[in-house]
Amino acid sequence: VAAGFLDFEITNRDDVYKDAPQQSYAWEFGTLGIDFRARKPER
Amino acid sequence: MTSSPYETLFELDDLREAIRNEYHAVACDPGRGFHFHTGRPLAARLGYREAWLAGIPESSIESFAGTGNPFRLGTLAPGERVVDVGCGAGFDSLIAARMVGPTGRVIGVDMTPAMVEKARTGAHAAGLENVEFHLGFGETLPVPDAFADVVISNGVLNLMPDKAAALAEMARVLRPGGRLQIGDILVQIPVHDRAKRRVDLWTG
Repeated sequence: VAAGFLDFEITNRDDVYKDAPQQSYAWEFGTLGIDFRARKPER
Repeated sequence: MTSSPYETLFELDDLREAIRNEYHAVACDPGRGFHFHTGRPLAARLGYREAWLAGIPESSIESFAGTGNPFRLGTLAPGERVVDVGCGAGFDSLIAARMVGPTGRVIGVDMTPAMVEKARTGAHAAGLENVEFHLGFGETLPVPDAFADVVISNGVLNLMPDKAAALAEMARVLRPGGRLQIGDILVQIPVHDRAKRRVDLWTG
């Protein structure tokens, strides 16, 4: 990941656009909601 | 993760204005219906615990439009300092403020005035004095260097025209050893040029 972050990890993936009130194009691009974490180096 | 090639498609101010208009509507007319979920049903879908929502004003919950759950990555400790990038109506900021308690501090930043106003109103209604909200851009946060133990954000990095600048700014405001806890989106199929020219696909 950019900016010097370490230990990047995606920890969760959800189909967050499924059944959205208005039409979503998310499916067309395989779009998922995710959680990720990373850490700034100590020095 | 790479920068978005917005420069060849839109003027920066035009893109920001389109995004601001979309989220002004989420702030002022959250029940309108969008191409993304909002509010309490979305929070339940994303695994927010009912206990976290207790005491959070409904005005902040109804305009929640995240794509993940920063607190599923780990709760925040009392006394920690937090920056919420693209805080919207303050949903995650207010949860964070309750987690870090009176010895902690939360700064929420958003570029949509109606969202910042709603977040401030929500903090006042919740009686939280350890959280403040500022109008600003994720690429130029109004936060001192090395301020934060944790940077959170939810469904916002994907909206930022210059993602490399946004990540660099998150690094600037984090203390050494500080952490990112981010909800966002993952696009698994390359986006074709025709879609990249549709500004509405950049706004949510």
